[in-house]
Amino acid sequence: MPNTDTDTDTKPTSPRRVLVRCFVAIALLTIVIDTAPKSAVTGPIQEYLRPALNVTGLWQGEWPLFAPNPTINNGWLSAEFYRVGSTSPMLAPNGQTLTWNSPIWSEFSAWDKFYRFRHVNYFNRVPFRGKEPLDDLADYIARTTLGPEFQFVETKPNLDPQQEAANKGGEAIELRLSKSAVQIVMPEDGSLPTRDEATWVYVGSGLGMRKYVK
Amino acid sequence: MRIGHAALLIICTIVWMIDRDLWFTDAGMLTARSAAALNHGQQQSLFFWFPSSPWLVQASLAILFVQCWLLLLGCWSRFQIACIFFWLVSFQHRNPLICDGEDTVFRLFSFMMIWMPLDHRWSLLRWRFGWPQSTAGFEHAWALRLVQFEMTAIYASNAWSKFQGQTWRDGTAIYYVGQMTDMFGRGWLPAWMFESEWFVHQATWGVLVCEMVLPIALWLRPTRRIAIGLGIALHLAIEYSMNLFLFEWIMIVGLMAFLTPNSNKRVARGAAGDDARAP
Repeated sequence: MPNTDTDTDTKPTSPRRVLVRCFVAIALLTIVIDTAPKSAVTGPIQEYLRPALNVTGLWQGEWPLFAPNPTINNGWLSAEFYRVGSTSPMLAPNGQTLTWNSPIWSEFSAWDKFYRFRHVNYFNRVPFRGKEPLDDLADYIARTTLGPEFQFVETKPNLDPQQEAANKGGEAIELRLSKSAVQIVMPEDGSLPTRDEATWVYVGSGLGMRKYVK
Repeated sequence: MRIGHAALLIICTIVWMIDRDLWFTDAGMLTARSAAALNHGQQQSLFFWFPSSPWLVQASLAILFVQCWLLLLGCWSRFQIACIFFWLVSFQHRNPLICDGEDTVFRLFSFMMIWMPLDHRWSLLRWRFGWPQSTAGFEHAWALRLVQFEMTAIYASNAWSKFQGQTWRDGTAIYYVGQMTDMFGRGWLPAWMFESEWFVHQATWGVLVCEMVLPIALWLRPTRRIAIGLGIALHLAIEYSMNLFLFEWIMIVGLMAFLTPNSNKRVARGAAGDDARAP
C-alpha cells in the first residue's frame, strides 16, 4: 500500500488527523457503551445506539460466555404427527410412531460436533426466540417428513382443517413440537456428585402445534 | 493477523457452504421474513433485499470464499476485507440463530481491519510484482488499537458477567460446564477432575481471575507477554475440552494484535510528538 501521509497530514491539527481521532474516539466509546452491563445509566444510551449499530452491522452487546451461570442444555427437539381429530400418533410404514428428532449431541463425535456446530447453535436457540422461528422449523419438518405436498393451514374459527382436507381429497395432519432435556439434580448439601452418582431427570415441554393439509 | 483471520474465515465459509440451503434459503429452517422479524426489522442483509434463493446464496458464498482466499494471499486485501464485512453482516443477519460470539468477533475484526495496511507484509501481489514496502500511517496503528480495545472489552465484559453468577463466585461453575453434553468432552480428561471439589474450585476461580486480570495485564508493557501467554493457554485449554468451533482460535488471533512491535513504535512516536493522548 503506498504511503499516503503527506507533510500536511503529519501536523497534529491536520484535518485528516482530526478526522481519524474523532472516528477512533467514537468507535471506542461505542465499544464501551455497547459491552457495558445494562444499568439505569447505560441502558437508555444502549437503546439509543442500538438501531444505528444494527443497521451498520457493528452491534455486539454484553459478553456473557457461560455467565452469569453455565446453563446445562443437554436437550433436543421432537415432533410427533397426529391425524386431526385423532389422539393416537401417526405410525410410520415400519409400524413405529412417526417422529422427528433433532440430534442428541452426546451421541456425536467431536468431529461431527465441529462441522455441525451451526446445528448445535440453532437447536439450542430456536425454542427461545419466539413463535416465527418455531413455525418455520415446524414447516420444514412437515415438508421433509410428511412430504412437500403438505401445506400449512391457518387455524381460523370458521375453517376446519379436516373439512378443508376432505374438500381437497387429502388428509389433515397436526404436528406437535416439543423440547426435551436431561437435567442434573444437585444434592441439597451442596456437594458435587460424580457423573455416575448424579441424579438426572427428564424434563419435557410443548413448544406448539401446526396443522397441515395435503 | 490477516492470515489467521482469513484462514479461520475460510473454514467458517466451508461449514456454511455444507448446509447453505438449510440455513440461508426460504426452503430451509428460517425464512427471511422471520429472520428480519427477530430484530424488529432493524438489521440489514442482502438476503432481505433480494429473495434468498439457492442460487443467490450459493453465488454469494462462492464470492465470499474466493475473497477469503485473496485476503489470505494478500491480494488487494483492504478491498477484500471490506467486502467480507458486507458478506458476514448479510449472512449473520440472515440467520442469527446459528451464530454466536465467534461470528461477532469475525464481523467486528473484519470491520476494524478495513483500516489497516493489510498488504504491508506477506502479500502475494507485492512479492510477485515487486511493489515497494509501504509505510503505515498513524491511523493504521489506531486501527490495531481498536482490535486491542475490542479484546479488552470482551474479557472485561465476560469477567463482569461471570462475577454476577453464584456458581462462578462459589467455585462450582466448571462442574456445570462439565455436564454440558453438547459442548463439553472434546478431549479426554481424567474423571477425578470433576470428582475433586478442590480441583473444580481452583479451575473455576482460575478462569475468573484470568479473565479479570487480562484486560489490565494486556495493556501494561511489563506484563503484556505473560498476559498473552496466559490468554493463549486459557483458550487452548478450552479448545481442548470443549466444542466451540472457531471461537478460541479467533480470540488467539485477536491476542496476536498485542504482539506488534512496529505498530507500538508508531504510536509511541506519535505520543512523543503530537499524539500526547495516544494510548
